[in-house]
Amino acid sequence: MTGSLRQSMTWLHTWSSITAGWILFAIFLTGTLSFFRNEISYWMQPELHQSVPNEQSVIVAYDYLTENAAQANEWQISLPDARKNTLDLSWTSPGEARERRRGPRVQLDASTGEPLEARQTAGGNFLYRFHFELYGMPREVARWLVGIVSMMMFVGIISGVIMHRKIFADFFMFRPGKKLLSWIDGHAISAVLALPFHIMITFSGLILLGNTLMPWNGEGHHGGPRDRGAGGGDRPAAVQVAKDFDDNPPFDKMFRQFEQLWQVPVDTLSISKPGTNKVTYTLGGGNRTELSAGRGGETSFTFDRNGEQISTRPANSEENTAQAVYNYFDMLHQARFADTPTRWLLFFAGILGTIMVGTGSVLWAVKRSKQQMGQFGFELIRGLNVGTIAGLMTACGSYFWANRLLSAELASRSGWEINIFFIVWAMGIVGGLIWRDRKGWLVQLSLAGTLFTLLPILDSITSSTSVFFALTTADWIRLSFDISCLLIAAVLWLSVYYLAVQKKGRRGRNVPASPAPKRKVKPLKTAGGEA
Amino acid sequence: MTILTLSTHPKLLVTLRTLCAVVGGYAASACLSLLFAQWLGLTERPAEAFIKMVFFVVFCTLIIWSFAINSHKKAFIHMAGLNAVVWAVYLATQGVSA
Repeated sequence: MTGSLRQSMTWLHTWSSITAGWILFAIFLTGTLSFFRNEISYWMQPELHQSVPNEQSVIVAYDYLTENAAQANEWQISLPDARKNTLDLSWTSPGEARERRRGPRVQLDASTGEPLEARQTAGGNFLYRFHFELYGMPREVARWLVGIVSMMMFVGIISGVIMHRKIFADFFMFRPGKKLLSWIDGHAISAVLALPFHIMITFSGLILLGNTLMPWNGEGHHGGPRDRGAGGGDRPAAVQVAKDFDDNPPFDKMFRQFEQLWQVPVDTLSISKPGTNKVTYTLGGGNRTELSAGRGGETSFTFDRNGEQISTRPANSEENTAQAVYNYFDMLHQARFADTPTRWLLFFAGILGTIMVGTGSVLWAVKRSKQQMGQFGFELIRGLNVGTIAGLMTACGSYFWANRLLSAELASRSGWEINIFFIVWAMGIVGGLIWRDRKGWLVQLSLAGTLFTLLPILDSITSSTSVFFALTTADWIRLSFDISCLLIAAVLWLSVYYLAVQKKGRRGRNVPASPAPKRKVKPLKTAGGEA
Repeated sequence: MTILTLSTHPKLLVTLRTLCAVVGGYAASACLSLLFAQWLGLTERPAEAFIKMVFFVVFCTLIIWSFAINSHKKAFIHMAGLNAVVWAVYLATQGVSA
C-alpha cells in the first residue's frame, strides 16, 4: 500500500482473504458438496435405495400412470439416470390449470412400480442453498454478504497471483515437516493446481449474484422491449373423456431414434393427451448439448401414437455473444452439463479450493504465532480457525448422522437435521475458542474423522437395504457417497496423524515451535502502522 | 481534519483507503460498465449480462490498482479523478442520447 507492488499485494491478499476466510471456507465446502446435491439427497432418503432401474422402467411408469392418472391430460416422467435410481412422476389432473412443479407427484421403485414414501429431509438442497443464501437471515442480506466475501475472494486470488515471485515453481514445491514453510507450500499448491477453476468458480459465482450486487442493472434499465417468451404457463385442462390406452407404446423405437439423433440418453418423457388418438410423446435429453442457451440447451423429440416422428427440437443457441458467454459461466458454475467424470473433476477442484481457503486461514495464525501469541485478536482468529474449519467438518458429519438417527416420522424433521448441523457447529466454535491449540484441532478433527469413518456402517444398518445390496445392484450413487465419506475420513485422520507426530517429534527433538521462515515476506508498513 | 492529522492515525488511513478502493471502485466500475455496454449498443438482457461480467473484472482491477498506488494521497486523488472523468463522460453521453 505504501511499499513495493509485491508488498502491497501481499497486504491486500492477506487481509481480503483472512477477514472473509471462515465464511469462504463454509461457502467453498458446501458449494463443493453441492456438485453432488442430487446424490446426497438420494443417500439421505434410504427408503429409495431399494429401487433398481432396468430397461423396463419406462413401462413401469406408464402402467402406473394408466392405472392411477388415467384422466390426466398430461403426464411427466423423469426417468432414472446416473444421478438417481427412482422414477419421478407427475401429472395434471382434469380441471386443474397446468402449473410447473404443482399437481400430484409420486416417486416409484423403478423395477416394481411400488410408490416410495421417502422421509422428509433437507438433503443436499440445504448445503446447496447455504452456499449462496446462508441460513436464518433475510435472503437479500445473505446474498449481499456472500457477494461481498466472493468479491474479497476474487481480489484475494488475483492479488495472490501478482504477489507470487515464481508461480510455476509452486506447482512442484512442497516441503513437509517445516511447519510454516509446509503451510505456505500447501496453500500455494492447492491454489495454483486448480487456479483456473478458482478464478472461474469465483467469477461465475459473482455474476450469478449480479442482480443483488448491482440493483441498478436490473430489468428495464437498458431500454428496448423485454422478451418474456411465448405465452403464460396456465391453460385450461381438458374435461373428462373416455380413454383408450395403448398396451404397449413403441418406447424402444422412440428411445432409439432419439439417442441416434441427439447422441444423449433420454431423461424425461412427457405424454400429452394420454389415452386419446391425439396422444404425443415428447422425449427430452439428459445432458445439455448446447451451453450458450443456458437452461434452454436441451434437445427434444416428439412422436405420435404409432411412434412416428412429429417434430424435433434442437437445443437453443444464444445468438448474442455477451449473453452466450454469460450463459456459459452460469452453466459452468452449476455444472449443469457435467457427466459423472467431469462432476468428480469439479468436485476435486472444489476440494482444493476449500483446502486453499483453510490453509490460508491457518497460515495467517502460524505466521504470527511467535509475535502475537496471547493477544486478543490473534487468539480469537486462532480459535475461530479451529471452530470454523474442523468444527464445520464435524457439523457436516453430524448432519448426515442426524439424517439417519432422527425418527423418520419426526415432525419438522428436515428442520431438526439443520438444527443439529448448527448446534454442532456452534459447539465446535465454542470448543475452538476454549482449546485454540493443537489439542483443539486434534479433538475436533478426530471427532469428524470418526463420524465420517462410521457413516458407511451407519448407512448399511439404517437403510432399507444393506451396502452389500448396493454392491450387488451396482448402486454407484449410494456407493460413491460412502466411498467419499471414507476418503474424507482418510484426509481427516491423516491430519490427526501429522498433528500427533509433530507433537511427539517436538517433544523428542526439542525443536522450536515455529522455525524461522526462509521465504519471509516483509510486513507491509503503513504510515507508522503494521501489516 | 487535515492530511497531516490523518497521517498520525494509520488505522484510520487504512480504513479510508479501503473505503476509497471499495466505494470509489464500485462507482467507477458501474459507470465504466454502463459506458461499455452503451458504446457496444447492447440493450436489455444482453446489456445486463455484459454489465454483470465486465463490472466485476473492472471492479477487481480498480481495487488492486487503488491499493498498488504507493501513496494514500495519490490513491484518493486518482480514484476521485477517475470517477469525475467517467461520470462526466457518462452524463454527457446520456445528454447526447436524450
